[in-house]
Amino acid sequence: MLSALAGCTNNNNNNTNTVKKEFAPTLDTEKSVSLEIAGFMANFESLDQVINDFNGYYPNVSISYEQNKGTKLAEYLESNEYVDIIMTSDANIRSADNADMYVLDSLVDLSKENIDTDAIDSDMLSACTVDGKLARIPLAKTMCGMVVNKTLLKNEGIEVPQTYSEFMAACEKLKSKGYTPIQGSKIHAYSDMMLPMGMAIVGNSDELTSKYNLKDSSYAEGLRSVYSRLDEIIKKGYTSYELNSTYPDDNYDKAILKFFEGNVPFWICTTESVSGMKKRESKSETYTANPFEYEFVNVPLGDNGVYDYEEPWYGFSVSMKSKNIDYAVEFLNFMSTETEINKMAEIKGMPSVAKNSSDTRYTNAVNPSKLEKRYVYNGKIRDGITGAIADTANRFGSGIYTSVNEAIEALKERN
Amino acid sequence: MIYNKYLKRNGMAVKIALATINIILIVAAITFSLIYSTNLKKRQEDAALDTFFATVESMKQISYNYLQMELGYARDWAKYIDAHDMTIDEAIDYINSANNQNDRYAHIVNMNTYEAYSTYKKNNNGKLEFYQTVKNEESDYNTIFLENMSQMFSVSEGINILGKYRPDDTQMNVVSVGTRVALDSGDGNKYDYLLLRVIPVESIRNVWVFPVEYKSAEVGIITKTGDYVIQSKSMKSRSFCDFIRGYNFENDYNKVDELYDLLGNTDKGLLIYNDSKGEQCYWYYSSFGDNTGLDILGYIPVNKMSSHNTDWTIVIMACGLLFLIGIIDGAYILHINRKLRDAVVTAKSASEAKTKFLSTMSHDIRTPMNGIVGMTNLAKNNINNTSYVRNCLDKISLTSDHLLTLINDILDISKVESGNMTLNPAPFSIERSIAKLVNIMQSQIKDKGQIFDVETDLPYKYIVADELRLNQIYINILTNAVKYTPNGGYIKMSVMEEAVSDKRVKLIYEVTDTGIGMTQQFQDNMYSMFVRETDGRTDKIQGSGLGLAIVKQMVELMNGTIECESEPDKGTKFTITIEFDRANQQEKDDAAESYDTGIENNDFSGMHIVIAEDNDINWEIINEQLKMYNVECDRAENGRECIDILDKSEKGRYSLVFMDVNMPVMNGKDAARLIRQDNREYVKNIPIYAMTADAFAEDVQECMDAGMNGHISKPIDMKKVLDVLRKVKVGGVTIHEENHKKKHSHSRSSRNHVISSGRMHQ
Repeated sequence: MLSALAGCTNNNNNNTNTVKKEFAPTLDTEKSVSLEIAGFMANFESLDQVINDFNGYYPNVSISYEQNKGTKLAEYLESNEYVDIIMTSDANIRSADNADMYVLDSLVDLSKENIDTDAIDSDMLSACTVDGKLARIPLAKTMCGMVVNKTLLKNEGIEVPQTYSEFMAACEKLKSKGYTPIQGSKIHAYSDMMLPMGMAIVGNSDELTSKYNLKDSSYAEGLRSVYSRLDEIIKKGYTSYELNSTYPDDNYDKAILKFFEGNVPFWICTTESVSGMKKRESKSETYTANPFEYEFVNVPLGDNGVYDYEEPWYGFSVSMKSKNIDYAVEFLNFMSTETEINKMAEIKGMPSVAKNSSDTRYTNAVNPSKLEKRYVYNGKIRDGITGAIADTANRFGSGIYTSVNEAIEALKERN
Repeated sequence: MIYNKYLKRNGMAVKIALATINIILIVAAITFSLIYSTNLKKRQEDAALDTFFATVESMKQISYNYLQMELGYARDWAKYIDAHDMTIDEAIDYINSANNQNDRYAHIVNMNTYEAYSTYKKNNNGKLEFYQTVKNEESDYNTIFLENMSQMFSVSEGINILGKYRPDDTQMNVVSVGTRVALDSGDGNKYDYLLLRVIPVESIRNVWVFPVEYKSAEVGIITKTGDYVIQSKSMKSRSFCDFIRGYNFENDYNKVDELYDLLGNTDKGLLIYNDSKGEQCYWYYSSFGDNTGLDILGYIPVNKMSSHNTDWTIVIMACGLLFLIGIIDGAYILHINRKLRDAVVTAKSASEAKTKFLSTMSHDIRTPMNGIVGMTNLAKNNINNTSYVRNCLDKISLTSDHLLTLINDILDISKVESGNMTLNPAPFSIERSIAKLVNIMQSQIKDKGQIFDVETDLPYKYIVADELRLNQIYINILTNAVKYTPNGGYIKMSVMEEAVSDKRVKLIYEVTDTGIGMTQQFQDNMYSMFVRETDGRTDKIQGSGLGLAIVKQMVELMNGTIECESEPDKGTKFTITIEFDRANQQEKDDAAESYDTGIENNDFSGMHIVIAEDNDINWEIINEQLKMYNVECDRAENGRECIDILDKSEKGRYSLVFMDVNMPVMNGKDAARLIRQDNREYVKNIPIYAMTADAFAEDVQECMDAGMNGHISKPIDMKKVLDVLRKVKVGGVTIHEENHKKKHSHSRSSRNHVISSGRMHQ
C-alpha cells in the first residue's frame, strides 16, 4: 500500500552511468572461516539474505549476527575480540569527544582495503569518511518526513499538500473536522519534521556551514525560519504534545499500529519507521479489515515545496582486532556490489545508497518541481548539528521553549 | 462393412483398454514404490528425529548440570559471605580472591535501588549502572529481565538464568545465575542483595558439541517468551519468535502468537519452520524445568536429517525397471501386432490363393471332364460304329490320364506346401533309372518326330536318393521339353556325374530343346503354381501349371539347384544339379534286387480273390478287368462281409484280398486288423492289398499299420494290379521284400505305384 511521489533519493548525482560489476572472489573460497557481526538491529533479515548470497561464493564462511547496543563500541570490541564486523552509526565514528560513542580508532580504514565502492553514492561514502578514513560501508540512506494517509485525505477532499501553504490549509481543514493532523512520538514528531528544513538550509549555505563548523553561534539565526514554522504549527494546534506523548518513544512498532488505526492524517517519522510498516499491515486488525493507501513524503515546509535531507543510515565497519580481517573485508566488498547493496536496502525497506537502484518506493518521495532545498549529508558539516536542530525542535514541541527566540538562543548556547 | 467398423472400433477400444491397464499398473507400481519409500523415509526420519531429540536432551542435561555448577559457585560465595558478615567491599574482595576462573565474575545488586557492584577488575570503582538502566528504561525485554531477577532473588530452588545481556563493565554478552546474599551494611544490620555469577555466552557455547552426524545441527537456549539466551548462527533476529515470524508469517504477523503460546505453555515440542535461507527446518524445544523459564532449542534442516539416497535409488530402479518393462512390453506388443498384421495379410493372400486355386482347379478339372463326358456321349450315340467308338474311348483314355496327372500334381504340391513331403532315399542304379526314363519318353518323342540325343557320363552307377522323386523331377522337365518343342524339333538330355568326395557325387541333369522358349517375364514367375505361358503357341498344350512348381520344391528339398536359360522361339535349357551319397556294394545289390519284380505272365486262371468294395461301379470295373485275366472275384460289400467270406471259405480258396478302406459297417483297416488276428493260419496270412482313393502317405502308412501288404490307389492302374497278381501267383512276397519295404518304403506315396511287399509270417 506504500506509494511514493517523484524523485528523491537515488540517481541524483553525476555517477549514474556506472556499469554494474559482478563480484569476483579474491580469497580461498574453500577455507572454513567464522565471521561475527555485531549490530543493533533487532531483526536483520536483509543482512541474512546478503550472507546467504555470500555463502554462494564462500560456502564455508559462517557468518553470525548478534545484537548489541550502539554505545561503548570501543570497549565492546576490546572485550569481544571475536567480533569481526560491527555496525556503526555516524555518531559512533565522529564523536571523538564522547568516549562512550567513539570507536573510530578501533576500526579498519576501508579505503585502504580491497573494496570496490564504485556502486555506492559518493556523497554517502564521504559521509562515512572521517579524516580521510573510510570507517564504514553505508547500508542504506535515511530520510525524515511523514507518512500520509492518502485515503483519509481523499475522503476529506484534501489533496496531498506539496507546499507549506497547502500543508497549512490541509491541516486547518483536518483540524476543523476533528483530526489532529500531525502526530508522532514526542521525541520524533518535532525533530523529524523540522530536521530536513534545518539541514537543507545550513547545508546549502557555505556561510552557515562555516559559522557552525567554526562554532560561531550566529549560525543559529539562519535557522529562525525553521522554528517560526514549527511555532506556527504548534500554536495553530495542528499537533498535540499530549497526543504525541502517547506514542512510544521509538516511534516504531506501536506507533505504526497507531497509524494503521486509520485516523492519523500525517505521521511524522523516518524511513526506518517506514521500513517496518509493510510487515505490520497484517498485525493490525483494523488495517486488515479496512486497508487504506498511504505514502511517505517529505514534509512540505517550503513556500515552493519540500526541504529534503538525506544521510547514511548505519554502516558496517571492520574491527582492527578481528582475526579474519581479510574475509571481513571480502564480505564488505561483496556487500558493496550494486546487487547486494540494493538488496540490503530493499529488504530492509530503506532507500538505497547505490548510485543505481530499481527500487521505486522512495524515488518519488520528493517531487522535483516542488523542491525548496535539498542536502545530502557529506560529512562537511561538523558533528552535532543534527542533534542540535532536533533537540531544539523537540524542546520547542514539549513546551520547554515557548518562542522562536528561545529556541534560537538555545541553539546558540549549544554551539 | 459395419461389422468391420465395429471390429476396428472394438479393436481400438481393446488396445486403449490394454494400454490404460498397463499404464495404471505401472503407475500403481511406481506409486506403491513411492509410498513404500516414503514410509521408509518417514520411519527413518522419525528414528533420526528421535535420536536428534535425545541428543538435544542430553545437551540440555549437560547445560543444566553446567548451570547448576555455576549456581553452586554463587551459592557457595553467598554462604561464605553471609557467614562472615561481609560488607559489599569485603564481599567483592572475597569473590575476587575466591574466583579462580578468569572469565567469571560477579555482580551484587541491591534489589531495591538496582545499584550494582561488579567484581570485574577493569571496572575500577566497582559500581555498575546497568541494572538501574534496565529498571528505568521501559520495554518488554526489560520487564521480563527484571522479573527474572526478582525470581532469582525470591526463589531458592531450581535454576533461573538472566540474559543474555551486555553489562557496562565487561561489554561482553553474558548470562548469569544468581542467589540471595546478605551483606552487612556497616552498621550491624544486614540487607539482602542479589548475587549474580556472570558467565560469558561464549563459555556456554563451547560446552556443546554435536555428534558428527549432525554437522548442520545447532543448539541454543531461549526463554519461554522466545528471547534468545544463547543464540546459534542460524538463529537470527532479536528473538526466536521474531525470527520465525520474519521468515514464515510474512503475510500474517499475528500468527506468531501461536508460537508464543506453544513455547509458553508446553514443555517440549517439535516445530517445522523455514530458516533465513528458506529451508524447512526442525526446531525442537525442551524446557529446563518449571522454575527456569528456559528452553533448550535444537535446530537442524529437514534435508540434513538423514540421507535417503538408498531409498530413492530403489524407487528410481523400480521406476526404471517398470519403464523398461513397459518399453519391452510395448515393443513386444508392437511386434505381435505386426506379426498379426502379417498373418492377416498372409491369411488374406492364402484365401485369395485358395480362391484362385479353386477357380483354376475348377477350370482345369472341368476341361478334361468335359472331354470325357462328351466323348462318352458321342460313343453312346455311335455305339454301332466300332471304329468311332474306339476313337472316342482312346480320347477318353488320354483325357483321363491328363486328369489323373493333374490330380496327382495337386496332391504333390499340397504335400510340399504343407511340409509333409519327405524324401525316402535308397540305393538304386542311376544308370538303369535313366534308361527307364528314356524308354518311357521314347514313344512321345517318336510321336512328335523329334530328334532326341541322350548323353550320359555316369561313372558311379549307384547312388542313394529318392528315385521316385528324382524321376518325377527328370520326367517333368523332359516332358515339358517334349510338349513345348514343335514336331521335328531337337531335344538333348545330358546326365553327368562329378565326384565331390569319396562318398559324394554331384549329378548334373541338363535338358536342352529348340522349343518355343519362354519370355523373361514368364521365367520370373514360372515356379509359381498354375503359371503357364498363355499365348497362341501354348493354348493347345495340356498342362496343370504345377509341374515346375513341384520340380522347384523337390529340387530344393534335395538341397539342389535348378537353373533355366530360355529365349522365345529359340529354345530352353534346364540344368538341375543335386549332390547325393554314393551307394556301397551291398546297397547296390539290394537296390538291384528291389527292382527285379518277377516274370511277365498275365494268365491267372484258377486264382480266386476277394474284393471288398462297397461301390458297385468300382466293383464292376475291377471285376470285369480281372475277368479278362481269368481271375475269379468274390465281392464283399464291407469289411465285415469280407471277414465272413474268408472265415467260411475252405483253406486255400482265396489267394488275395483287395480291400477298399472307406466302407460301411466295417472299414477296410479294421477288417485287415481282425483278419490278421484270425485263428486260421490260411486266413491270418492271406495277402491283403488296399485298393482305395485315400492316396496320401499317411493313408498308405495307416493301411500298412493295419496289417495290409500293400497299397494301390484309385483310379486303378491295371499294370500295378497285375504286378500284385503275379507276385501272389509265383508264391507271395519274400521276407527280404518285407524288410526292404519296412526299411525304405513305408512312408512313400503310393500314387500310381504299388508298394509291394510280402508279409512276414509269424
